[in-house]
Amino acid sequence: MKHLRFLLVGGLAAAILVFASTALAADEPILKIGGTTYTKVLWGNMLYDGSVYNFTTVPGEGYGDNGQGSEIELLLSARLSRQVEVRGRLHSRFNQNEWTNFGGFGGRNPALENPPNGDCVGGDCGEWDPRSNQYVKLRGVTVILTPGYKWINTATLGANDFGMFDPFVVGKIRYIDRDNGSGYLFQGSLFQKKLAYDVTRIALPRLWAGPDYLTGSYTGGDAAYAAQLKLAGSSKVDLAGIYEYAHDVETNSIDRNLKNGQDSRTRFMNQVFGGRIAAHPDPKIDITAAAYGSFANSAGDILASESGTQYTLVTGNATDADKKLSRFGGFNGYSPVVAGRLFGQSYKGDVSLNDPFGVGLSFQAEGFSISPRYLSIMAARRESDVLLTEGWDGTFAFPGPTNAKYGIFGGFGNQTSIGYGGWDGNMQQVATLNVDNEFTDFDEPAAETVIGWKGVTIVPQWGKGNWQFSGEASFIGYNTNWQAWGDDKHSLTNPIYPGTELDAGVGHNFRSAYAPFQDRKTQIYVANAKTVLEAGKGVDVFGKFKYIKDKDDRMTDPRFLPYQPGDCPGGGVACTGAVNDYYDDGTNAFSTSSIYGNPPVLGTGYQWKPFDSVSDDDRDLKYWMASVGAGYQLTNDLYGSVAFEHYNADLVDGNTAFQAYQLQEMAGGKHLKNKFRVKGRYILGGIEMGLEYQYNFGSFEPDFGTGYVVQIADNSISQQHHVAVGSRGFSGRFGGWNSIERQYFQQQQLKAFWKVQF
Amino acid sequence: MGPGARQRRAPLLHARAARRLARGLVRRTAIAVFALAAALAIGTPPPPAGAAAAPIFKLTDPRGDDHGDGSLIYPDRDDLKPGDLDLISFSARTEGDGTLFEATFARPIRKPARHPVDEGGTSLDWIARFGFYTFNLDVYIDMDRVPGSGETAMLPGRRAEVDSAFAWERAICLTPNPYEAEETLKRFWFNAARERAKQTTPHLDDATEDSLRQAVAADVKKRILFPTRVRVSGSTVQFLVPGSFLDGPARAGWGYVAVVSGADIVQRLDLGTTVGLKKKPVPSLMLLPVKTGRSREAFGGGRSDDALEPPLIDILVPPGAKQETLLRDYDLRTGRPVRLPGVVPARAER
Repeated sequence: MKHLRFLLVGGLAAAILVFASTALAADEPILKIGGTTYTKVLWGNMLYDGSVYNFTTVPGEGYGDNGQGSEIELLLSARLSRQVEVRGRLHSRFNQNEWTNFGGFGGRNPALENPPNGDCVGGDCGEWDPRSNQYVKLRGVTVILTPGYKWINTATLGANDFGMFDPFVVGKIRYIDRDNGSGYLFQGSLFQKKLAYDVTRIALPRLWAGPDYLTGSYTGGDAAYAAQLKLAGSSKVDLAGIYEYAHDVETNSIDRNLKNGQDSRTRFMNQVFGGRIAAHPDPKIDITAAAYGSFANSAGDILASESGTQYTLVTGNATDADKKLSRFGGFNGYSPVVAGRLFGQSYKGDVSLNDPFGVGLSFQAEGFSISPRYLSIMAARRESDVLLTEGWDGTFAFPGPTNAKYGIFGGFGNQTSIGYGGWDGNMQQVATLNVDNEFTDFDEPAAETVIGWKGVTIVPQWGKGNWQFSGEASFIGYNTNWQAWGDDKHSLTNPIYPGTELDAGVGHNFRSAYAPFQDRKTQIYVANAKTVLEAGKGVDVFGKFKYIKDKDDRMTDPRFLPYQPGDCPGGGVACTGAVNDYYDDGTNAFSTSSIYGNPPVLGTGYQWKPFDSVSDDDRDLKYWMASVGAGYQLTNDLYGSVAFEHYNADLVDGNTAFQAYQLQEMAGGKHLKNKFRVKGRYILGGIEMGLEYQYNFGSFEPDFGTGYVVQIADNSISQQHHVAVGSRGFSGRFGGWNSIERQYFQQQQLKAFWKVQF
Repeated sequence: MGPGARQRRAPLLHARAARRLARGLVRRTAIAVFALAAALAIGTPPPPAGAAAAPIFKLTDPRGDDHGDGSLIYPDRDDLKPGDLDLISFSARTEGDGTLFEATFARPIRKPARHPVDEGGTSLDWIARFGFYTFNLDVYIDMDRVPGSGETAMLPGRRAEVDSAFAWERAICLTPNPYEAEETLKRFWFNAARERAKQTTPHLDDATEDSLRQAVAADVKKRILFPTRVRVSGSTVQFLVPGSFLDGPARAGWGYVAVVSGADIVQRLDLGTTVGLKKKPVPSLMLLPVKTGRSREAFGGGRSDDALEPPLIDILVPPGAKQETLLRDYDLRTGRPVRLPGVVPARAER
């Protein structure tokens, strides 16, 4: 033992000397290689194998809860001199890199198929699709210049995640990867480092940064410019200002003289101003206030002329002053941009009292208001949480009871991808319509849009000994509370706002910010507790209770009812179809009958209840969840936890007259959902392994009110909608099927991974 | 009620009455939340039996000196800003038979959020479970106050030594991943001890290596503590050191060297060593490094080709000493790192 002790003491001293001498003797290598290898294993009982990500809504992409896939990322870094560093990132594509591809060979070649045999999913295109052929791709190259001038610290040219800006204006850019964005970034400081600046030009991402999630046919000159100034006048006050200008240009088709170059036109333009002041008068007090203003304009004629666009020019209303502006040509548009020309503002104020009484009790309070027309195309889309509130829970992130969208229409494409369990935990709030949860798994936090939200949040936190408590009380109103999209002079199916699946169901559809009729209030209350029990290495015990009260009367003004009173007399008598117009100028007449059409007669009743009362679309949710769990450090390398969550939702969400906009599965009724989770993390040398297993189970007892004839599923309905022949339900306006039978759900899923970063 | 109407909750109130009701509800709820919080604060669980939270010492450190040797600048990250690693006080009090140390920073300590840290979506709050993730706090304790008795080396990567007059017998490393840090340190020390042993015995058999490994583990267990009883509240972090580690509560007459560094919580495998590109590993225990210029992955403002510039952002200094002077006092030619003197609270508080 003495010998070993000598070896230890000597070894430690030697290690220091070795380290020091090595560092002095050897020059730092010019080229450094680092990176990550990551392997994911998915297993689940939905038996999807379209990709090794649970969730996507991107057309043509697969999703899956089964499969194994590996990827490697190589980070090359070379410091050529004090002033110049170069970095490159090579990364294999991942999402269909299934082990069953057997190295990415063979597979069907869609280019040779006539007719085409569908999208490449699950790696079935093998060698012929970059998502499955396992080739390594150049993902980003960056040159970092540190010129040494006083007025500039660094110039970063190339790939960047641009995460240094305000997430209300320019957020971290992640589309599959964090730094797919590229541009020029200049950072420096002036006035003896009291004023810091970040100035950038970001190449506008053609995949999503504009109306219709596109930037038009000409993209080479499209860019977003941003400038951010931060003034640290004193240690007690910080000031920051930011300006962003995004410009999407197209060639000007009416330019006939090309000898002097080609004229351009603006397809889309967005400007955002923001200011923030933060005061820290005392370590116990922090006060922050921020305000943002935005202006955006889309060229209606350019948008309307693009193939497949959802935008139309307003052609009705001869006296319409803004008839040049585009609108959505439907009730349920998809776009990150509100149509036309718009101004919007957002405000946020925060106060933090950090243990003011010296007893471990802290408070945070926040007030916020985000205009429905606030728009920053480059704002954070995910991986940011701009509000203090927990918001909604990820387990109910889509309208249907199993988190399906358009689930009433059956078919594989309308089945849930994320599954009954949804995402773990609560949602994260982002101030954009462009919210993005693509290529995520159930164990990741999901984002939800908060465009239109306003309210107050109070969060107390208290700790004593091993105990830690926190809570939340949030009172949320909406700047999007209106009738007929806030504009009763246009057709309900021709709004400037994208409906984006529209919001129905237990929770909040993560990307729906607007509804044609809304009169909504939400209250959220949360209580968290955790402690460490003195046993062994210490047992972590945690628990949570959350209550949400959400009420939305939607249509409140009877002048918007679709038909005249008594239009559907009942008793097997057909409706007369006497339309009630909420607008009629003698040339154009608009009515909500365009979306709430009358039902056909069925026997002595109607196929669905006629929409003849403003209470037909009322929503009233009483929701609570409770969870309890424990974790333990089993060995120095292995940590595990188990948790059980119970969700209880009593939902009134309109009756069959409303039908969840005839697009989504109706979810009114009683929901009981349970989630059992086991998680583990294991570190061995330089490798990290993780695992989460979930068993989700529960039931849904529908209650869609009365006033309609219950229908029975025949063989065709049974096959298309996966319900039992002879089960009860009703068929809606667009032919979808809503079952009124009690339904039971079960979902098992597992995600395991191992990762080595080097 | 029409034939299709469902049983509804209470009908809508008149708008004005509804607003009054809403305001009342908000007021009552806010009162309830605060009342609950206050009740919790008042009706606290009793402290462990036999404990008297007697203060042992409290040391203060100047505000605004979180720049290391004067040139270091924070990484270009929105979750690590000036003040975050600015230690402004360090105190101790008894807790049962052990010691509750408390460190206060100039800014509220950033708590790990549910935020993916890698391509696979691993969440930060799952990796950093103890309520913080941006800093390490090392405390080297000279218990016997005998110059030269004890260790002078700091934990790997600090590029600094403890002045021999304050040679330490015990070290505490508050770090976001204490269990992983402990295992990593064991690995570093085992590799160093094995290298040393191979100088006299080129081929070590498995039994010797196993014995060496066990000896290293026992040594780490005895002399280095990575606290796991940690509580973060506002700008203060408290961590409990059991009496068994310090043979009782801490004492104001001991010498303390306390240093703050940025935490790097990513597990990395040294590829260069693994594939033979480099001969010697460069150990660094959970530290954010220092680089020249400005960087997102490291503290900036470092000097180029300077292997001895310490990545220490803030240190406790004894009266009369200056942090910047101490952290610049090293010699590249001879390889002498900085040597940090300790603070004896019993003397400093006079």
